[in-house]
Amino acid sequence: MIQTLIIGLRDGFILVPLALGVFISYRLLRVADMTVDGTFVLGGMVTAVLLRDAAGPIVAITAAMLAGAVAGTVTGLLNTRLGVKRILAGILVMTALYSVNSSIVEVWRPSVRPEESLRGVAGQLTELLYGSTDAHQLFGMKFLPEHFMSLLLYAAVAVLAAILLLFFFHTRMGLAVRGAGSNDKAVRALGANVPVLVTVALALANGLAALSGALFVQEFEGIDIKDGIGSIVTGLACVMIGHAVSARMRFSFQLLSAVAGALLYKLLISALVSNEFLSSDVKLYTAIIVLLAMMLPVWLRRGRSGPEVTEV
Amino acid sequence: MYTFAHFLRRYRAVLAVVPVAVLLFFACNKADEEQEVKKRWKLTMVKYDEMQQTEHAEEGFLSGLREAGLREGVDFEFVTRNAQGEAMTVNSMLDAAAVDGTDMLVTLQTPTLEPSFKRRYKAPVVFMVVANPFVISSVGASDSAHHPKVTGVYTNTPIETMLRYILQCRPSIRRIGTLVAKEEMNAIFYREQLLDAARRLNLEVEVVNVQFRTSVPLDAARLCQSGIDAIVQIEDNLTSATFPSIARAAKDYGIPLFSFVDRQADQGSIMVYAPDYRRAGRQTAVQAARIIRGEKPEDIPFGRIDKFDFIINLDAAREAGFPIPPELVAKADRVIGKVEGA
Repeated sequence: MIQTLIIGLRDGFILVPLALGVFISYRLLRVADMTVDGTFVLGGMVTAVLLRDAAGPIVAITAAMLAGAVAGTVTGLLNTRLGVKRILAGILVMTALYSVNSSIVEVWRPSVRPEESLRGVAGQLTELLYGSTDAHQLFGMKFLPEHFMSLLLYAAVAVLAAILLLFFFHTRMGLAVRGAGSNDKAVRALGANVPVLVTVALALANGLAALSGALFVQEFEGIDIKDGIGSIVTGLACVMIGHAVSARMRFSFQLLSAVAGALLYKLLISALVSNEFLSSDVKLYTAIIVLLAMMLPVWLRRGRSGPEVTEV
Repeated sequence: MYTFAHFLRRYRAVLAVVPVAVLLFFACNKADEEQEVKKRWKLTMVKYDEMQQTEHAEEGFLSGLREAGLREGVDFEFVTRNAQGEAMTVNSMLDAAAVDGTDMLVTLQTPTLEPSFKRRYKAPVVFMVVANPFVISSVGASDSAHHPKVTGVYTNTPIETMLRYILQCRPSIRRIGTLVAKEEMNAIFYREQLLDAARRLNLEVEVVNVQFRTSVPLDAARLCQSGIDAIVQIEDNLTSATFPSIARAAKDYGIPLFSFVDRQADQGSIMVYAPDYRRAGRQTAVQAARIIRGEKPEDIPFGRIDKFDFIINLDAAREAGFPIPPELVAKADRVIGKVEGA
């Protein structure tokens, strides 16, 4: 039970930056930005290459975020300068990134040196605090303290990212970015440069997706080019689950609900994975859970205001 | 007169001792057997994804354990988990297994092998349905010098055998082609194997890289137009999943097609030289049984699949105008279509 909780939260915190990135593109810019499928892997690849060359986790994470942000900027420029629709621009950059990531695999053969990664740091901390990495017991339930240390490290990174993002969205530029997605005419009327704001938002979203990839590769000590496929779906699931409880709340809570959504999503998957009977159909149950999360606000609204009239 | 009663009286001591000895012998044997497996082992099988190969390997593994004298529910319990193609789920499954009492991990496919021992848990790892474990550098350098916690059985299909069979049918073949999913480690391994084997047999190889399912038909057509005499399709996940479109292109351009996955013989491949994954599962079970009986994985060398199925599709051969000599047909484990003159 405790182990399931720890694994769920640890994987959830790895996904928090991705969920925040998808929150920016989906909730602020009103587009499911497919670029994240590519930038998640790109972030992982860049991190793996730098960790192999002993650059250290902080340098690797920073470089990964920058790489992701550059890819997001390209998506933004395709949309704002060349007039390509946002969704299409995302698909184009995602497709191009597949080849870029493939070339990284071919040329640099990314592989993680465990002692250089955050997981390695977690192992060292565990040795220091617990004396060994063996399983421990809490209330009669077994858990691995190394996983708990990893959880704390990823939680620190994810919480820092969320706080910085929250801070950013309360600056002048952040407020303008929030407005650019929902009411660009009003923002333009205030003299702001909407194309720049959209590009900044996409760069930020993809920098965050790359950060998730960077954390992923540090925990799992490797990444495959196909590991990014479905990142947008995962991110959307986290945002949807969070949205189920925060739809009418103020912006800060909505943003934090994406964090909660990521944690809940992975907790549910962890619970499914640890169940021997359900573990082989995780995707089916995940889809059902996401569907329920999407239906919940609709049901709640119906409960309050009677049945909705759907326009056809 | 020497009667049966005399015989009984004379040898009564011997006759009394024999059944007692027999009983003692079986009792000791039984005690030995019980001592052999000291506890009930929990075996957790982690699959990256469900495929025909993994199904066969699992079946073979379980029957192999039974053949090794191990009883499910008594000597071992068996749990199988399928990550459905997600790396993060593979790792979550391995993490869950670290504290759920799993005594041995049985990993299928390359993406599950690396994290299973890199995550530094105590349970020994036995792998199968892996083309070449050495593509993961930390797994070891040779069959006997490997990671102390890991052992298993790998495929390593002898591509040269297939090329020799092809040349036996048509010695004039000089140029062969293949599609390669270059992101897949196994594909790169088999590409190198094909290139080496072709070099030894003085064959040229045309390689076309593929990335997406949707582009495979076009890539296959491009390969067929590149002046090749035959397609020898190496095994990887992408081309295995899209094999019918490769077969269609080969048929359209009249290029004979050969491959290494058994079901592809029914999909248009003229000759298939495919690993028998049920057999591989049995081989792996022998290794697992040795660990259960007290041996360490480091003392058990990696094994290679020792049986390959040679399948010939005579209908496809006739359609492509590629005659197969009777002596080769006689070698086949399975023949699809009617043998001429039979």
